[in-house]
Amino acid sequence: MTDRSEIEAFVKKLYAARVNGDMDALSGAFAEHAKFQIAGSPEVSMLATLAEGHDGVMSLMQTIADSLAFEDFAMLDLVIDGNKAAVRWRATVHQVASGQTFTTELADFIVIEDGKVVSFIEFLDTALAG
Amino acid sequence: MTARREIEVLVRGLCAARAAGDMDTLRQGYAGNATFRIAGSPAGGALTAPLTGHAEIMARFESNIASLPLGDFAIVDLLVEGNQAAVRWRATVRGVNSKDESTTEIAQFLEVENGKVVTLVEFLDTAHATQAAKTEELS
Repeated sequence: MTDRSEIEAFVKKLYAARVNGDMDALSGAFAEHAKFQIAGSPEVSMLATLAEGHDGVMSLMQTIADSLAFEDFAMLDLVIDGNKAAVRWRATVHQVASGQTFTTELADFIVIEDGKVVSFIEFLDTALAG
Repeated sequence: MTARREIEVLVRGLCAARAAGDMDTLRQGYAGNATFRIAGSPAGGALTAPLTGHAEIMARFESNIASLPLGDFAIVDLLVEGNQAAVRWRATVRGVNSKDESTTEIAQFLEVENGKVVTLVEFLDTAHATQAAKTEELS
């Protein structure tokens, strides 16, 4: 999958699945050897992490889906270059445990091979996230 | 419309200039009406306050370069499409006063017009940046 329109459609489905917590769709979107990283210093931010392999990524996705609900999702920028995509997006996040709600902006760098995500690196407001 | 190759050269040059503290290159690379924002909660104070115009942006770069110089700079990823670029880069940050050193990763989304950056949105480890700034103040 290197056609721009295919990548765009794939990315939009991926974000719909993420926002809706659709684990089946997410499971189908990540490759067996995929990695998912939240950029940041683990010493300062508890969210900074790296999950490797399909099971590891899905476990992290499930944790996120269980603890955060997304509303008012908006894709602000989508830059596609070959088999890579960079996405800037905004959403209102509802923390299930605390009941807190905040609007925040994130950036993701995604690499796609054979129609599946092999690398997903996310930047978020680590000070806000805790 | 700026050609892809021009945008790639511009972005690579500006990232390197930021890491090297090369203010002349930074001054030339941003439009007069450019905007710069670090993505983050308004609770981040000055760190996440939006900047408008060449002078405000250059003042911020000068301040950052003076207090938190960068080393071991490397571009990890660079995507270009149309007049937009997304870049991910890594560098070592060293506190001038504290001498604390750490490696950090930064993502930037840029819009380029007429060979100059008009919009820059930056994502960094805000928790780490806040802590590093406090450590600098106390050192």
